[in-house]
Amino acid sequence: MSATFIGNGSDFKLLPLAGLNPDLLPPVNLHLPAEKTSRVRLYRSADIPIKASDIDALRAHGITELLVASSDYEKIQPLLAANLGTLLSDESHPQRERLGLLNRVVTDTLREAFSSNNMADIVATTRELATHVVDIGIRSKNAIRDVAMIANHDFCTFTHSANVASYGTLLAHAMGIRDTDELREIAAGGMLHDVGKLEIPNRILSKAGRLTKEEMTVTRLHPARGFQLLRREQEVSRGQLMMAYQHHEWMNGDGYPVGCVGQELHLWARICAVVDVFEALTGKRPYRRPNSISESLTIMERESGTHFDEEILRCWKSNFLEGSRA
Amino acid sequence: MLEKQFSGRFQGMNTFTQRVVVPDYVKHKVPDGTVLPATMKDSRRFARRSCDLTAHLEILTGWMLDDESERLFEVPVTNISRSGACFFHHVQLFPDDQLILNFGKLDRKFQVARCRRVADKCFEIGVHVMASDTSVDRTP
Repeated sequence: MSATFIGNGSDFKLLPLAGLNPDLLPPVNLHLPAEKTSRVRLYRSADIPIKASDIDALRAHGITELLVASSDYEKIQPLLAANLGTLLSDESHPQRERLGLLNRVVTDTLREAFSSNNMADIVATTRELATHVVDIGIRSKNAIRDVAMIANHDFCTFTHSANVASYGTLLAHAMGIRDTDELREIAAGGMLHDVGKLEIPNRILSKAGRLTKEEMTVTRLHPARGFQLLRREQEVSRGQLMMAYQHHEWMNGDGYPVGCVGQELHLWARICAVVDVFEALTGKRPYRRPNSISESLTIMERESGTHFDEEILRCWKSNFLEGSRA
Repeated sequence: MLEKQFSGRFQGMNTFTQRVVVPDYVKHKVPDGTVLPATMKDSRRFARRSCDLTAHLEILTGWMLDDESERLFEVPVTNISRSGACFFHHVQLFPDDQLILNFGKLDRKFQVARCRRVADKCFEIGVHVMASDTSVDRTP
């Protein structure tokens, strides 16, 4: 979650309306953010169940998320993950809200899995989540634009990985990859592409300023460390390994860790490179404001053919243009 | 690049090796024995010395290799240190790939630490030593 809300001495977390299914979730107090402050006010107590008409009324007022206390969210989160398929297929909720729910659940689940430091668990979790990412991704229209609008941008590895997974899957689909298993592998690969950062000291990853030369050198070890961690896992495919190992390579050989060029780079890694940079540019950083979508695309265009695969970048850009025309 | 002609027998094995040749412009222009600076980027623990040796390379586990792949080569070694070595190869090797370098009477088991592309079909491979006894265990 990007924003911290305070009220009654406890922290709150945002819950997309698409996740509010009284049949699946236990009753909890629901809150609204107070306008222009970071404080909250009670919207509905746990003993008064929320109805579909209430959700419609909230949406009519432009509200797409409610707040629940962090302690309540901890109870809800596993249920959201367990019932994700049902929640995402409920078409009474707008596509953008369902994509927002998916993004939230993927981020939370990755945070939990990554904290276990158990690579087999992490890989299994990403495979499961990838199913949902692909299922909703391939049946949604203009999903890339919607995901870009709802994605969390809180500068942490799990959020970044969740966004890269969604973007990568949708870009691969837009490029004509239709095989569901392949798309699932790309989605899971997107979640795993930065797994090497688990071995980079947190003081460097969360540093609120530009990195020194030495810190940059340490950070640049993460593709190789990710490769080393993942190659031991039987379930990880060659393409997924290349996403982790080659996503910082450039088409002209200026990237790292190897400096491979053009077609020496795996297709999935070239896809990952585009969405990884787009996600980073549109995301918050302690030392700069997030770039808008059009600013990010303009910055990336300057490196078309040198950093990025021209054709893949063109496809990525065209999806935003199509989305704005629709 | 890979020289197609066979260049000799691999010690103790009934098979031939292929020699990896490196374009002149890629080779380091420093005299043998020069102590090279160990930078953080290289992830080196010990000072390395430049050299102009040839070693027999046997790849034990290669991530990109299958059962049919060539595993025996003759490679130019450009520098060595107490804990590792650096040589040129015509294909990429990947972190944790295991190999044996044979320098004549001496062979050592190594693990790939880094790989850097320096020219077309020419990769500089940095390896660190895994076993230092004379009887190298070929089990990956």
